[in-house]
Amino acid sequence: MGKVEGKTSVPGVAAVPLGGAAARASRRRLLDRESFLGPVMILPAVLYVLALVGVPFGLSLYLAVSDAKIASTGLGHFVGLANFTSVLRSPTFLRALANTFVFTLVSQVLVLVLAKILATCLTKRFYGKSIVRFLILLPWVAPISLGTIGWKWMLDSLYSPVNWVLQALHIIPASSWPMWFGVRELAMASVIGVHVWRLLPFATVIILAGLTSIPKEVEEASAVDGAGFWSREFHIVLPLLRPILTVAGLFGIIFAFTDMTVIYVLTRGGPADGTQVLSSLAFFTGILGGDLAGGAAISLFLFPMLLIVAVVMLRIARRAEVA
Amino acid sequence: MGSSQLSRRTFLKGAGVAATVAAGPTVFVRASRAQGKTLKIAQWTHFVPAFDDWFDKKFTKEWGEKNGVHVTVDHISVNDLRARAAAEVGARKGHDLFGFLDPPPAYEDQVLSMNDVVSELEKKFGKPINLVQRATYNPRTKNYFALSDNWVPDPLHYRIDWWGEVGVKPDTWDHVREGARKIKEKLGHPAGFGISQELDTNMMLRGLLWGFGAHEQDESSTKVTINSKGTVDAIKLMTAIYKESMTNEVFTWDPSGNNRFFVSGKGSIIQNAISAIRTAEKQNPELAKKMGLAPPAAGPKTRMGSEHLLHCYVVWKFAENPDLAKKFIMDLVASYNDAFLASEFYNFPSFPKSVTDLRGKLAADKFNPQAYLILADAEKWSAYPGYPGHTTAAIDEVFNTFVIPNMFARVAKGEQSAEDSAKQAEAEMQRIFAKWGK
Amino acid sequence: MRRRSARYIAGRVGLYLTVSAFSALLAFPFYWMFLATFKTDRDLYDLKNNPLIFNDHLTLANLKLLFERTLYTTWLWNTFVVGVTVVGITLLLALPAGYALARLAGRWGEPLGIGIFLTYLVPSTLLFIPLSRIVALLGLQDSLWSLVVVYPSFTIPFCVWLLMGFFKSIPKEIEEAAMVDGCSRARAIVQIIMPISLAGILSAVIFAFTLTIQEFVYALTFITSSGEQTVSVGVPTNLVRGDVFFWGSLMAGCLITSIPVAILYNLFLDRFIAGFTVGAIK
Repeated sequence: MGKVEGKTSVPGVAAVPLGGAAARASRRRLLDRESFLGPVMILPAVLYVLALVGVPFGLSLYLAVSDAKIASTGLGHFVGLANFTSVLRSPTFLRALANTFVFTLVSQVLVLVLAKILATCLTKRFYGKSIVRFLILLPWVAPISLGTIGWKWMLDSLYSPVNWVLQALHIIPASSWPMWFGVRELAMASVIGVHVWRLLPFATVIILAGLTSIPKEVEEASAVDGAGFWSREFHIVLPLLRPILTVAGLFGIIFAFTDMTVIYVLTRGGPADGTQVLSSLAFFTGILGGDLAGGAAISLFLFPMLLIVAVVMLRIARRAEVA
Repeated sequence: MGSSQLSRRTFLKGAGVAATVAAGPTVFVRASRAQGKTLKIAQWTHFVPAFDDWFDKKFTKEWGEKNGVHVTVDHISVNDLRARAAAEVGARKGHDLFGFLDPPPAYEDQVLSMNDVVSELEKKFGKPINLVQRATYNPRTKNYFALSDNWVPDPLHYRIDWWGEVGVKPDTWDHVREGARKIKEKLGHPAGFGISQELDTNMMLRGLLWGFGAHEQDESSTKVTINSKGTVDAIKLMTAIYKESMTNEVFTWDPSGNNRFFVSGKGSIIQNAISAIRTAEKQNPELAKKMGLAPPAAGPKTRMGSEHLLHCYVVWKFAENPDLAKKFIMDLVASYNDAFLASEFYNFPSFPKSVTDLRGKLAADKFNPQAYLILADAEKWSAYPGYPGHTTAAIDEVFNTFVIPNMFARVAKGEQSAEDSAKQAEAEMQRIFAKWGK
Repeated sequence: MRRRSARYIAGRVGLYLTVSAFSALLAFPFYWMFLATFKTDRDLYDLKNNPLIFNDHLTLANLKLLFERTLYTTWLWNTFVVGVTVVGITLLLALPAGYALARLAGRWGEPLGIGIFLTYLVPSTLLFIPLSRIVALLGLQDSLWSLVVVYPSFTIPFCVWLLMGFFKSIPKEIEEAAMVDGCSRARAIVQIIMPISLAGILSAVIFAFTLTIQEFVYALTFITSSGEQTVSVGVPTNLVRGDVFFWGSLMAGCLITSIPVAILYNLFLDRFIAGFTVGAIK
């Protein structure tokens, strides 16, 4: 009997909204008696977050339509969309906008595909599994500011051990020595690579959690039906995983959009703005350059779009319920 | 690994060590705060650790004892100074003295005027050098918004042995091009002028522009003048040097890139603060003997380089001990003989008379007196971002969004012609000037 | 079994190759950090050397610098204190909220859950300026406690959302049965739901703790006293001096921080996934 309920916890299988609604209705009476309990339990968390994120965020929104500078004594004046029209005239901004999309989408696709492969491997039994798990968890627990400094050396123009290894393995000819941050494409590949390196463990854990929650019977049944590995992957496993993949993807997208650590430490947006993204440009303009309002406009430029993407993705993932 | 226990135990031990550590004393401040006033200073983590030792443990300690004040010094990494300043201003709370590494005109509304400190110091030590005056003074408000105690010259570093072998002296940009090419061809060693989004590039390229008679803005600091023939010629010259004797790596660097490049023995020439040669003296003394310093190369119009760093203190309007802070700066400037030595000649005095017999001190260097002697005239060939105008908030944003380095990079990479790139830089600068013009 | 063995072996070989490749790629930087920790400068900076082995004698100089000339142990301790306190505050607020959103909030649960999640869309590079004012008003500037107060603002939303999902997967009948037996809901939550939710709570703890030790911007802008800093800020601030990096000590600082946490996680991850599987089968 627990089996039916158990399935609601399975991502994607929970195609029982009707039953859920009915159950909810029947519980309404119960809820009435405890209608105060819900708010009491929720409010502290909501207030905490509102006070520390909501208020400053409201202020940031206002900054984007003001002429506030970094050391303005007041809040500045309301200038409408002037900051937005100003940045739109800047080729640097347009390049950063394009780079942001490339950086986010490519790194996200890579993270999800690689994490799925790695997670599938980790569901199998093999020798040394716990060592492997320890090793792949490392990038996730390293303080990112320091981990990225490590990569800075590993992709250094002089000392790069990465180049050394590539040469030793004859992947690149002995005469070539890639300048990772010196060529636009390589620089973009580097920041994407390091970003993937950093996020892969997290995504793997999430997907692993999703995979282990798929009942064995489902897979076994399809195996008995004679479905091959790939057909099982695409017709059974991936659809079941979709909600959880969506969540992992959403997290990745948000990280990629709002966090600039990797780019700031490795390339500072170079070469010639080749890896400049909105978050780094906002920092250079608003904090280092002092044009706070301009920086706010740059970093909030994609907020409306991001908001829609997040809501849509969360709707898709509605029943992902990681656990 | 029981890291908590371990670190707690060593923490206690560490606390004992703390007194000997840069910024360590702050650990103990809390207890002693009750006794009297505390002067709080924030400044960068100096490239010469010995300077921080002198500053934290000797100078501020003695000054504190003499004035009955407890002094704490917090160190912040170069790259993070501005973010921390923004946070202090946002909070309206912070240190009494905040040390920037470049002039912060954007903060003028939040800092106390330093006019009184400057005039007091002028009585004792004469006028500050010209570049310091131009970079920290706002003529519109008639205000010194910061007080600079030191600045850092940006000389050429070159390999005496190789340049001697090809028989060229790096005294003009044309000779730099010629010598760099010959060394590359004959010895296989590249030159290293960064064309990257970082501080060293920002400074070096400005010097090159001035050499060609090109400027970011006019003397009134209101008009963008970057799109000129001088700029185009300077871009073309740097592109030629890049094509003939440099590699892609010049696009990859951060401020430490050219140091590593030169100190490793790979490069023939760079332009940098003396941290490069000083590092070599410690890491590879043999190699360091083959290194020389030279003034910036001359262009067709003039010989000019930018300051590498301009250290300036501000006192926030919301500082708790503004008078103490100002007194501290005056006494610090008065002690610049010691500071100059402690910094291993890295910090040059902003008030030239605050260091006596600068030339003699340079000549007494343990490692390479000949090299350092050329710095005696550094003031004559150094300017600042925004020259010949003042360093304004708009110039500051141009600087921090790397408009100039990217103008050069686009051409060197073959993405744009020199003319188009100068035009694009002009448009970008005009956009930025318009924002700050109001 | 025998007949499948060729395919089986191929599969196993593929499996081992794949996990080896992933481990190598993900852990390679840490191997390099290990080398850098014990290498002499001469070894590290010699272009002719094989970078993947020790070419000179090993040295403890980098570790000495890290432990004796910086407050590294203090930073470790601070990071630990902040991590644990933040996790505590987070659980205290997120557990009830997650449960209530899953069970009590009815149709408001979902949108509220999403709303909480959206707080991540705001970059901290922007938020730190107004937040620093709040920190100052609370009198917490330059104190470890500023981080303890601020960090839950980004750990709570995620954990609420995570726990909400987790509680939803627990059959309602469990606590309803208990309540029919005369148990109050509050008691049912504490005595019945919490024990079977350990796996979910554990994952919330792990995620919150990770976010905490990773954070950089707030730690940088709210705190300047060396004695109050955390590892992620203290190490680079004190070991990147101008344009000179103290590579050996920097990398040692990263390695020593990471390894114990990775070991800890590895232990918990077992329980975490085991708990998961049990939850799914039942």
